[in-house]
Amino acid sequence: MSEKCVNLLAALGGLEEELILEAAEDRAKKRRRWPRRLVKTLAACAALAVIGVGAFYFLPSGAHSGGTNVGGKGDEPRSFLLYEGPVLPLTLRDEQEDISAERSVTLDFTGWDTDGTELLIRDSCTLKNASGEDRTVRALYPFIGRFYEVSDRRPTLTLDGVELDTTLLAGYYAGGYEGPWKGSVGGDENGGSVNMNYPDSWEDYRDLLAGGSYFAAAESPYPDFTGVTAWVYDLTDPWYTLAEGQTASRPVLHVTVPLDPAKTRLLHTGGVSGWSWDDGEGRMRFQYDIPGETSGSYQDDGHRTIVAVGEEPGEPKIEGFTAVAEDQARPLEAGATITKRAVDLEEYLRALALEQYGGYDGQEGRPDFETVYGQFKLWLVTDGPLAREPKERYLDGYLNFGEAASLVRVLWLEAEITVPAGASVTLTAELHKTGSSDPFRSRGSVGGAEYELATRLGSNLAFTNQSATLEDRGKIEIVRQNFGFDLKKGVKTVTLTGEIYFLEVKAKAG
Amino acid sequence: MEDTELVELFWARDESALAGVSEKYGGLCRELARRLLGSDRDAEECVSDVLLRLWESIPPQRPLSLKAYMLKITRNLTVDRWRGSTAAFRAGELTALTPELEACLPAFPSAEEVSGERETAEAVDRWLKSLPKDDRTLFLRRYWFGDTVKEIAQSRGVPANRLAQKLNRLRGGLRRALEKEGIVL
Repeated sequence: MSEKCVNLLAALGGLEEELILEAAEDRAKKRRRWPRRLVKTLAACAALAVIGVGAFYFLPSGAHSGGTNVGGKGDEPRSFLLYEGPVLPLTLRDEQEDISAERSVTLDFTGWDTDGTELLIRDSCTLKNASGEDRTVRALYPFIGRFYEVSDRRPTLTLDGVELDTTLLAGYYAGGYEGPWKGSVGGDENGGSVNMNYPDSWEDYRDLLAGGSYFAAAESPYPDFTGVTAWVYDLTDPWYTLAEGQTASRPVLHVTVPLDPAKTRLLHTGGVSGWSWDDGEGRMRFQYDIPGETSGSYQDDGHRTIVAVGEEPGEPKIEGFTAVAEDQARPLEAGATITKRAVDLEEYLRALALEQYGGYDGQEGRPDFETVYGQFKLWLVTDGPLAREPKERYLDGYLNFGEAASLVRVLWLEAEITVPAGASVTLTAELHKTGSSDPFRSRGSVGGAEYELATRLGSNLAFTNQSATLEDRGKIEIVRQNFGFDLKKGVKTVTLTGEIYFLEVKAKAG
Repeated sequence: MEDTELVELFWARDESALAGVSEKYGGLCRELARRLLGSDRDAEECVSDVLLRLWESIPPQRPLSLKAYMLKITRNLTVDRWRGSTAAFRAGELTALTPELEACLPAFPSAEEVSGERETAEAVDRWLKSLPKDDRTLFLRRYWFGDTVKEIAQSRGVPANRLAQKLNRLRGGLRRALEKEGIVL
């Protein structure tokens, strides 16, 4: 390869943009064009399908279905690029005919200017027991978030002023996936699954929570890989020896593993610098840098791990090369110590997760390990590398505990409470809610923040009355809303009769 | 959501523009960088560099198509990264492309003054515009986006070897066009 050739390669970067876009459109055609609604419907069907354990492992995905309100009319909430989801109402694990509820929600802007767009929410439900017997129920307070931010977003629950002990229940990922071309000029709308497609409107959550299947799935047992054999290859002590006069610009090892993809799924756990799948030969090849003086940023001990699940793959073959570029790579006397061990997949994943879960140490209110680990396993078999059809995002294997921790989901805090016969108790959730925003200001946004409140979504409580109170603290101007607040007239408490309410605000001028 | 609105955010020095373009085009750029460089880690770093380059270049730039602008920056940065590695750390589709592009090199003595990248790009622009659309996009998909011949063949429903032959002819055509324009690489 000559420098001239590289010059030409670089010069192509300066071609006219119209030509690039034309070719980009042609690329996009290669991806199937499925309507968004169809994709979501299929995802919902997949969520309902319970497929038995086969070569790999499949469980309901809990993906959402239905369309979204992209634009939004003046009196309706709309979609957001950075969408935080609505405040959701309290529910009970088991519906109670004798218990009714009155709800009052306070939107308090006390810390709004000092804490960004975080709004303090006090969501109080007074539960009345009309029966002649005490009722002990399991209350569930839902909120939207990611595992890694639970310690910040976890609501505090009190019952008549006394803080409750709660346990965390987690739903699966609330969004879907999309191709890299979605939303781009001439791009395909939904083909592919390399990127996350997060919920961007309350309707996504409405569809997610409708019918109760999402909650039911959250209560389902997590996958259990006990008894499933995983083949773990540990590569250690990589080495190479230069022949006389030989140089190696970037010594690498190619580890080739023969396998039948229908029977074996091969994963890596990091440190791989390249991989390829040769379906003609039925083998997967991983490329690893050999640490050393020429290995740049790879200053490590050279320990690499490959994990195979399913049928035992063939013996791995190691080859050394002097460089990565094929036209420069020359055979290199090199090798590594490979040890293979058959392990219990459950034990292996648990150890891997525990190691990575250590990053949560010291976080007050962090989610418990078993919940996060369970969702990690659920992600593995639903969308991740152990799914029947892994999302493109994970095609090369991706045993990343952190991915599952970063998926947005609906979570519930559960607490046991007793409502005395003929009496009432008040359960209050206090939480901080970040506003949804649209930095592009293309849909009427003025660069402020929007908050949503759902009155019945996902709840089995019989609400006799709901109201909302705005504590604006003189800090905000209302841009759009359907609550009915009127700051000029002093209307700060309103009765709620609709299904969804929104309040879009910006900082008060001056 | 229009590119022009995103550009306005950059001009307003609103940092949310970075989150916006990352959301809208980050995946696209990441896919291109990953394909060309063959490394997730390098692709992630490259996309970060693209965002930085955007922030530094808008203003004064005001690109009409942010998508094309970002793709070009991505590709240029990937080539720079790949090129700067001076044969070490080279991987990905770029490594496969360069030997193929040898066939495009005009036959001029190396002692002559080397043409600038812009001059070369303009010559390639003119040559591409002289081609039928299918040939033009075929060339760019292979040598700009790094799509494999097999991928292009699958998307077009034609045999891969037929496309390979066509690409061979296109490379020869580009070489003749560059020679005609007096381009020296």
